Amino acid sequence: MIRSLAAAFFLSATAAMAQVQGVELDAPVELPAFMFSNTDGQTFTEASLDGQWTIVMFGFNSCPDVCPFTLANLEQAISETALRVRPDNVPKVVFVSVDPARDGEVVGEYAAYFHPEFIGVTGEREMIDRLVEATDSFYRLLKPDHTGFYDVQHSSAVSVISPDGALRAKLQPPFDPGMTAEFLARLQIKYRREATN
Amino acid sequence: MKQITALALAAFLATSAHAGDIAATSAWIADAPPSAMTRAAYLTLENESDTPIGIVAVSAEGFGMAHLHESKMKEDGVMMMHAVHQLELAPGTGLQMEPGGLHIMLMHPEKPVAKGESIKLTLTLSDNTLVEVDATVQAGPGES
Repeated sequence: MIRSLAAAFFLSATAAMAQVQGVELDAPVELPAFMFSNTDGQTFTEASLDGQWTIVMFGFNSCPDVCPFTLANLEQAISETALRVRPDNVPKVVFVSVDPARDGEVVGEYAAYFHPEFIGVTGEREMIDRLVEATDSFYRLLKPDHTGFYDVQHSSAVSVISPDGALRAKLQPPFDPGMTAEFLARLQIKYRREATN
Repeated sequence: MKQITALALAAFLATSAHAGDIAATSAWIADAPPSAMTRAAYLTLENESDTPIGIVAVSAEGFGMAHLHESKMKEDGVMMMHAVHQLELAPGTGLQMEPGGLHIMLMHPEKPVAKGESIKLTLTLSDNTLVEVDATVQAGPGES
């Protein structure tokens, strides 16, 4: 009886995790120095990570399907998280475009469209590659078609970075607002517990 | 005589449009910044006829280009997008397009597009009939 209950619990726990699709890293990963900016004068560097939770998403502005969907869902997930954590623990969402050639001028405006506090930045190829690699992400610019348009493949998972500047977890869309908020709140509790021990 | 042929042809076209009966409903376009160069449209299709029907082309008013596209997540979490050249619906079947899957990619907008705007989508079916549906720019499937 106990065993079957345990099995049932395990199954339901797995199902819930499958929907959140949040994966906590076994060991936090320190991030290297980086530097991104936008034409509104906003910058995003490793120093921006200090003292706050950050969610970094890679994408590009010509992305019709996945990027608007991810940003709109993140907006809901963050609103939900704001109901559960202290205001200074609400993660800051940063959209990093891997397509600076097309997005340099508009990336700030693009991200802010989904939420006024979302930051959109881009930077030099070397910086993009460095942060992509450090967060175990991926992107590839595809060959242009006859009109010059090119598509970009990229990881859809976003990186959750703790206030000490370390990568702690990855979240895979869709970001169910309630479950994402629950995942982030738990991650923060665990982080604070580790910090005081 | 010419008139009769034209009438007969019109009648034939009307029947074939009915025979190739595709219902396109719940069309919407994902909200994105007005200046976005590409967008995605989603809709629900039902083949209400008793023959298979293909969707061979799509177009959108005010956009230079529209394509059927599918996003697919690879095992490593990387999103791939590829063009779908023809979509076939078996008799009595349907499909619902949604974010992260099958969608109509709209490219080269003639002017900025605002939330709440309605854009006419036209589907060309394999029997050459056209299906028109208005899609509203909104935040999500059931939202405004």
